[in-house]
Amino acid sequence: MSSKHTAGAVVIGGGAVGTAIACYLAMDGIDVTLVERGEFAWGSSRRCDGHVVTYDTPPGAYSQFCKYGQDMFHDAAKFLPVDFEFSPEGLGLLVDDERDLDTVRANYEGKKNEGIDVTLWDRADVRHHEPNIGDSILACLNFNGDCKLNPMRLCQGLALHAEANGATLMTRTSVTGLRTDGGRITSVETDKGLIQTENVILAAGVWTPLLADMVGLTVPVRPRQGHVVVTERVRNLVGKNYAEYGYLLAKGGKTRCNATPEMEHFGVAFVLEPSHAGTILLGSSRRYVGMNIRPDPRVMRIIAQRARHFYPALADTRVIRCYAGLRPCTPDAKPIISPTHLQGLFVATGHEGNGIGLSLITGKLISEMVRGQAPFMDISYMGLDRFGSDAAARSATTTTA
Amino acid sequence: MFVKTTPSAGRQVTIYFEGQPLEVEEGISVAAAVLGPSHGWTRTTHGGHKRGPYCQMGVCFECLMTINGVPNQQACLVPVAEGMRVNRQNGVPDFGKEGCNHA
Amino acid sequence: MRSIWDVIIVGAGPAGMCAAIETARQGLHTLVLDRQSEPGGQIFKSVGSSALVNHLGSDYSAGLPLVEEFKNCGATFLPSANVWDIAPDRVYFSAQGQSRCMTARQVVLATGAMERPVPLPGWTLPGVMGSGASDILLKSAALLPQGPVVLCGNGPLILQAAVHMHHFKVPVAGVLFTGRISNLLRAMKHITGALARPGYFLHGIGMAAQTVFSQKCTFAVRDIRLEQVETERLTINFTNMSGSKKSLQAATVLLHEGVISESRITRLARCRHTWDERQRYWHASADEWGQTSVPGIRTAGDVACVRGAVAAQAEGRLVGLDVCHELGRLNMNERNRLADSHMSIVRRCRALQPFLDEYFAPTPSQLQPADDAVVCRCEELTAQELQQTIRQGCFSPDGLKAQARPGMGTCQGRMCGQAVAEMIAHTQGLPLDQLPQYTAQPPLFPLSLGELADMPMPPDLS
Repeated sequence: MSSKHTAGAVVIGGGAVGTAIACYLAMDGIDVTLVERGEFAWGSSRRCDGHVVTYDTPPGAYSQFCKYGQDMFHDAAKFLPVDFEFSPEGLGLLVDDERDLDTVRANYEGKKNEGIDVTLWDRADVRHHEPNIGDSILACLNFNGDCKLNPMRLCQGLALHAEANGATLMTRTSVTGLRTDGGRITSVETDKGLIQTENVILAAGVWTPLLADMVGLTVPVRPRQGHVVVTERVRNLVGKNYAEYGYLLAKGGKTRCNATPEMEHFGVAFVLEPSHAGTILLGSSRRYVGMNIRPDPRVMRIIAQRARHFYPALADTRVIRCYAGLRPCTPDAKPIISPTHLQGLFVATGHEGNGIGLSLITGKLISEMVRGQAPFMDISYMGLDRFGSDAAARSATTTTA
Repeated sequence: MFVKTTPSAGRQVTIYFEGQPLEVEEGISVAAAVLGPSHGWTRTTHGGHKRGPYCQMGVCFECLMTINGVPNQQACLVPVAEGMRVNRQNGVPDFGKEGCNHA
Repeated sequence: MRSIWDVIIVGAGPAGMCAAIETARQGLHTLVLDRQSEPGGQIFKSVGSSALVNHLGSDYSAGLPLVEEFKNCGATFLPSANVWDIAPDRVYFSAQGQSRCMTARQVVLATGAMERPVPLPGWTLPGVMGSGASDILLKSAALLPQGPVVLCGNGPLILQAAVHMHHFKVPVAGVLFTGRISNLLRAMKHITGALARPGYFLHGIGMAAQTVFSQKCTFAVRDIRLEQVETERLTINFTNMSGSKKSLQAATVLLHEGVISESRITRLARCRHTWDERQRYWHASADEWGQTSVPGIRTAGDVACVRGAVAAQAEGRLVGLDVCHELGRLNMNERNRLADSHMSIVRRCRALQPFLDEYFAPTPSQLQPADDAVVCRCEELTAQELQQTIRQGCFSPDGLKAQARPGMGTCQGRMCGQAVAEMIAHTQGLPLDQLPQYTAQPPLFPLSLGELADMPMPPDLS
């Protein structure tokens, strides 16, 4: 364990964000080494769905950020060496409660003004497009540019493209320490040797706080557990991606007007993705249970109930598997894409449920930061320093349900 | 391809395989009952390939058939019953407008 | 039906039945769940109703008194019940289209073994099945293959099938053994262990001798390829010991490459597993009382290590006795006294096992599938396709699963998991004991979404 090498930048974390950062750095001519303790997409990037969306942010600067991030996938689908099953087929937000109709229309207008391709279906339109939809669905707000992809293949594609552009990929390699000297990062200790470098990017999702701790830095990211329930392959059940309008509220931890106590307790909000393979991925759930990724049948049951409400035909499909993953969540639910007080140390995590969709834009921005360029978009609101002193940050890393 | 060693001693029931009536011994599995009439294949995969039961004990999931209108049932685990409708599972279940109860 | 039990036993084969008899005898509320419609597991399949109960040897008919004792022991038996999730204090299962959660103070997993799935070109063709499948059809439905039959592989069930075929006069075109000749030499190092169970050992020798003398046997075959000529006619191509290419014709091909634990349930329980080097499979680690690394979850019988029906029954008794002790119905002396005879049976079975494991050790080259063999049957993925993805950078079954989908189909990796591990070990130069099987997630078996949605939850577990 005494091999030594140098790198222009070391990215720690081989999920969607880490591999994207490595890819953009490599494309921009930086000699980058990616270190991942497992294989690619080993953590949350293999325990999520494949949605790349703009529906789940209210209109504003962050929404435009998400839209830019989404648009980048169209190019990536052309230049990455792996087919990651990219499909810009759109997503519909299903409305099942009259009390939501006013805010739905306001949302529609707001997003339209931002240049996002949205259309509004009424009750009859929904039934025309989705014969299997549940009776109580009143309307659907369509985000026609929203997409899906295969997150694991995306990671593989980004990693291989990084490698083709000169990156060194070190999988099955654990980081054991970070070294600093005089306020700047100097090297990364791993179980396969030391890597001397001037730039380190922590992109390890919910494990980022552990790495940051190695240099006394507090990164306020909490793991927020989600579930995905997978059905057998089916045909002609559903036409595209859907979610319930209340998803926006569940994500923000706000109560919905028609959710049951159990739905609120487990943070269940309907999400549906017809996968490329023909299975249907159903979600979602949100709760804080520490680092637990063991699926819970009690949550699966509520997801099943919610899914049946929107698509009664789903009752007759068979559930063949389920998995649970951890979303890195910050106190204000916005990512951290930021330098730190240590020169050369950057943090890229906290994407809470949008890690896949925001991976490419994060990669591009981090590459700019590392190369000393001003970021092409104003992302000062994603700085680590917005969390102020350590006290606020420390409280966010406790694990309570 | 599979034949009885001894004449059936038990009670007989009538099931319908692909619409055709079949006299079978009560208590045996659907997979055993249709082995002969099906020429060994009970379904086609999503890729269109014919498959038949491999393990007869519920772990291989090749014996998936539509039983009484419900698709993807493991025929080796379902005992036959009077009037049961058994069909090959062709590809993946189709949820076109009428739903999946078509057998 | 009550929803709170002292002990829930998953599996009503020899191990599960014996554990239930012991716990029910001491008055513990015992629930036994099994996917089949009758107790008996695979070895005693349908023994209570089989037309051939007296024609398949004493190994089979010995199950009849056991099944009778089980049916009368006072345990509650729920047939056709699919357990789909477990925890140390509860079991989720589906029966008659409804799912329920039941709580227990102890959970015993006795779900047994499966035949080792070894992908070959053409193994997915109709007419090709495991030799255990043929055995099950014989016991449960008095069905025999019409013939000609070809038996192919390495393991005890090949000999069993050959003996049955001979007895029932089924034409056998050939028995192709894939085991290495040197297996016998390696096994002889453990011959003294065989003396612990002389009757069983001699019985096995008898079956082997009968097979060799009554069937056309070919030894050390390799490069087996199956092709369909027409409906119900298959060609079996192979290379023999001296390198010549041969072929046989058959209506039915029975494959067998040994029996391994069906470990998905113990992996779902997140038990610690040990790698069995000789027989190349993972099985849950458990002490002599069946206690796994997860307190409250025990194993009995082949699910934790394949040693056959006699060992399974003895292990079941030991697990049952210790559950009685754990739940205060037997003190330690009583438990030990009652356990004594079963312990000595287990010791004898363990003593013979190294010989059997070595004699029937799978041939490593046999476990590397040919390029055109379908490895993941459910997702229809060939060895060649999977190797391409492995070479892009996959170092574990879970890693390959994420990139190429093996193990994501209906069987959830039961049929391809170990083959995938063998391929990765070979291509990436990794030792098999560092390649854990696919992560097992609920549900253990498919259930309809509607049934999942409608499942009632016990109030304290909501």
